Amino acid sequence: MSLVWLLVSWLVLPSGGSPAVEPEDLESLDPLLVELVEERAAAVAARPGDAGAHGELALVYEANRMWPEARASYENAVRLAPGDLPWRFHLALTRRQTGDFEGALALYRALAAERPDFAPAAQRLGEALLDAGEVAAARAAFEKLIDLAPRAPHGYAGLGDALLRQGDAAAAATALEHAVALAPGYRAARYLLGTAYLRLGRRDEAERELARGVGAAVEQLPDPLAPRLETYAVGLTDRLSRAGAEIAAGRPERAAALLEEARAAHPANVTLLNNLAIAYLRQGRLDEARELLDEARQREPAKFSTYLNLASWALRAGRLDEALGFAADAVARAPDLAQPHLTRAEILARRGRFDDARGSYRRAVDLAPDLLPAWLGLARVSHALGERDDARAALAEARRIAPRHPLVLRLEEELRQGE
Amino acid sequence: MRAISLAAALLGLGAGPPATPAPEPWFEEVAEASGVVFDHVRGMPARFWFPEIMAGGGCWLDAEGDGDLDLFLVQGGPLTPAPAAPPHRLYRNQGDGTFADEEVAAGGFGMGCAVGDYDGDGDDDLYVTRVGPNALYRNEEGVFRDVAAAAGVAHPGWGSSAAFLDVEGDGDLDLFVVNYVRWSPEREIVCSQGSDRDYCQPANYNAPAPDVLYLNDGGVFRDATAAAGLARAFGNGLGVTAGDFDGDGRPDLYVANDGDPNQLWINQGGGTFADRALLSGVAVNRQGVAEAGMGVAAVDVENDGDLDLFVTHLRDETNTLYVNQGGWFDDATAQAGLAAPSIGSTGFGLGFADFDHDGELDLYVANGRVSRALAPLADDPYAEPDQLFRGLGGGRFAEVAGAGLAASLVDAGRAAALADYDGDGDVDVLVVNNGGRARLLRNRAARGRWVMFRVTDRHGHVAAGALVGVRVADRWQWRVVQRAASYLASHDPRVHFGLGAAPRVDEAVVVWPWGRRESFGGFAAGAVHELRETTRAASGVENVVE
Repeated sequence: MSLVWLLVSWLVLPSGGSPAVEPEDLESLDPLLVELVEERAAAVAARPGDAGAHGELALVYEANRMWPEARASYENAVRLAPGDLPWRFHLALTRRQTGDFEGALALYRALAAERPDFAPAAQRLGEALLDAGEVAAARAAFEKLIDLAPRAPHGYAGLGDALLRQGDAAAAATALEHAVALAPGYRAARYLLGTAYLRLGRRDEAERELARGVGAAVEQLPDPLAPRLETYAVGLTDRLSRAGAEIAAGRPERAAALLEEARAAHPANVTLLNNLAIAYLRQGRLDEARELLDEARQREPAKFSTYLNLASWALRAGRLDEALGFAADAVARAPDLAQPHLTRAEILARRGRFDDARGSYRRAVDLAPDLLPAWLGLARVSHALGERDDARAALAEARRIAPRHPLVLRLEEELRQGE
Repeated sequence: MRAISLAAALLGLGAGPPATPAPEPWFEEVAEASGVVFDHVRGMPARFWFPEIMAGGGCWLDAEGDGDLDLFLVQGGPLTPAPAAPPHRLYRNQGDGTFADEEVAAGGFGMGCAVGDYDGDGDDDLYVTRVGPNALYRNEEGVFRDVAAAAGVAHPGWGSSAAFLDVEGDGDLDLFVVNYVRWSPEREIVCSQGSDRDYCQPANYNAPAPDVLYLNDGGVFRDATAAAGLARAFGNGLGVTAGDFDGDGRPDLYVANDGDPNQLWINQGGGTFADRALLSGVAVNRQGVAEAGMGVAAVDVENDGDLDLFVTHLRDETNTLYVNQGGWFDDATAQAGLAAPSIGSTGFGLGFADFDHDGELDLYVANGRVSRALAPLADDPYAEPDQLFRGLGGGRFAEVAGAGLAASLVDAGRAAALADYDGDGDVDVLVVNNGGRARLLRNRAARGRWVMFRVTDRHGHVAAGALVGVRVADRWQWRVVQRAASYLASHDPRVHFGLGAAPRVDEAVVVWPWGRRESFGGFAAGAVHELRETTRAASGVENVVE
């Protein structure tokens, strides 16, 4: 830990005030982040005795995973306003992220005692207690959380985890089933449910739930500062990630807005250009998308993903031959990656070239055995070619990967009707 | 004064609870004094090409069959053909605590290495993973010659860790090679952290590479990956170790993947494997999150006779200790005291050993970042301090200040390989640092008694995968014979036990690969003994060879 602290100004600060915490190498940060840090640090400089100013700066650091800086800033905020719940809550969080699990637990205990109605503290307290091996106390914290937020899955998920650790798999399964019923997309709860089923000897159900749970991200009950945190995650990686989530959620216009703002700071970033092009494509802004993709191709001619996006552009423009050409360009640049072969296969299938498509699908699944769309496509073209055994085998692989995926179920039905 | 004291207080942040004070150093860094002067070359020049930041392997082996351990260090260098590519280095043990330095032509950007007697001629051969075709150096009376192409193991992918093991039980060593990412210079992409260029992460490439199983047919290998069922699942593979995780007598494999679910390949017999990682609880963490697996060890931290797993991870994740509960594993990291100290570091190589001979396993972890530090701790922005954990018993650990060194070393750690290179009966540590100097940490912590075993099959070959137990009074300790573990590394093939004050072990037991259990008699402390597989039990026979 080697932060340089702006101490000089502190020497002349009014009593109780603290200088802004700033990283040693501020200029090496993302320009958008530098701007934000400077803005918030200026607010601290103007009001060094204002806990809120330090807290806002801390939020900027936390949102960008600069844990030591965030922790130090929260410490300043808490020193100035010891009774402010939000800063103390986030201070505890950053204590954990800087390796001080015991300090985090102590603060969560205090918060839960002082504010027994504050559900996020109950959740974090339960998790910290699990980390500390205090399972019975964790269980009580999660039961309290269920009282506070009965419609949220987090309490049931935590309770299930605690019960599992206490060896009561049956009770754990009941709690976790409740969590999953409340939030079917809550993967961590599904993974724990799979574990509970496994302990109960319910192997088939266990396999299903474990498979659904893999790839979980840690989910927390939002606290009052959570929305602000999101807006402060301004680094390019975060923006790309948020833009991807917006596109997946069917909101390409929001993705475009995020990326357009980032483009000013990263005009030459080809990944950004590609992602912005995708956002435009999803909005039907084909000309603008094509312009970006041409620029990306010019800047980095070897980048295969640009050609995949160009193929996507050509498909939307109704230019199948061009799409096929771009897909071939992508394959040539990345012959050992599955995605270019999959894209080529999809275009070939659209053109009715099932035999060629089958070859490309096979190449894709050889390279990525868990690539669901490739197995589905292989099943379809095999069926179209009258090769029902191959179609059934491909469908079985798709079922292995995602037994209850709507596309799998639909294809099962289609093939059944086709037979 | 006010300012200084505030700074001092603030600088304490992030350290977590105070580490256990070390009254005396556990290790002394002796690389240069021992003649091991190895500077790993990250790139020529470093261009932020992905392999540059992942490399740095090292292996202990007996190159001349003289009974002491030599050292092979894998060089990086240029990622495109270059006339002045730096060589690998073989440091030959002079038997007096020093090494003689020898060059070995690299032939490509090296990653890691594995050691095994693949041709059954009684000496250690060497497999070197590279970005590009891997190399198999056959040991010909102490001289190493690359025979990878002829032997059929010159895999062209980006190899990371590898392991020799006998997957079929036919008496020869097969080879499992972990591959990381499908990468080529043309596939490289530009990533940045803040305003500066930085290395990308594997997810940026979205190109996990399948691992490979080569079966040994009389010194020539054939790719049996698909037939063995091993092509069905893979990720961005970095670490591998082998052992009998389900207690059925067959050697299994565990692969740590970077950002993808791990695989636990359970040997089904008949040359086939099935991935049981998900059902066993070792694919992802307790919440279902796939973490960035780097290095791995199979170890019995509870001394209950089954193999637990330890995996090192990226910063903001914790390293993970999976404790074997008989058929499934439980994430016991926090209870073991290993979660909080690891959340702020990126772990790579590791090794468990009883460094201080108190009868409890300790743990060394080599740390090093893969993305630039905002506030660098050294000239190299990827450098981090390593960590040492003292075993407290009952599967619990406490961090030792300064990684047990008088002056903490801060490097971009990658491989960590453990061995008693100086023959004094305690376990020393080699750390290979990416873009930096290799460190040789000579053990100064050992106080109690010890015993070591060279565990060999009936042909005299190292019995990779054998589980060795020793009993002192009514207390058992267990070790697995496994060179291949950690990250890009190969350990001492012998098993080592700290005994505290006990003058001898009352009994030694070996569970041989493929399941046969054999009991040996008692053994005196303070010596290396051989436990050789027999066709009949040798109970009660004291078998001192040194």
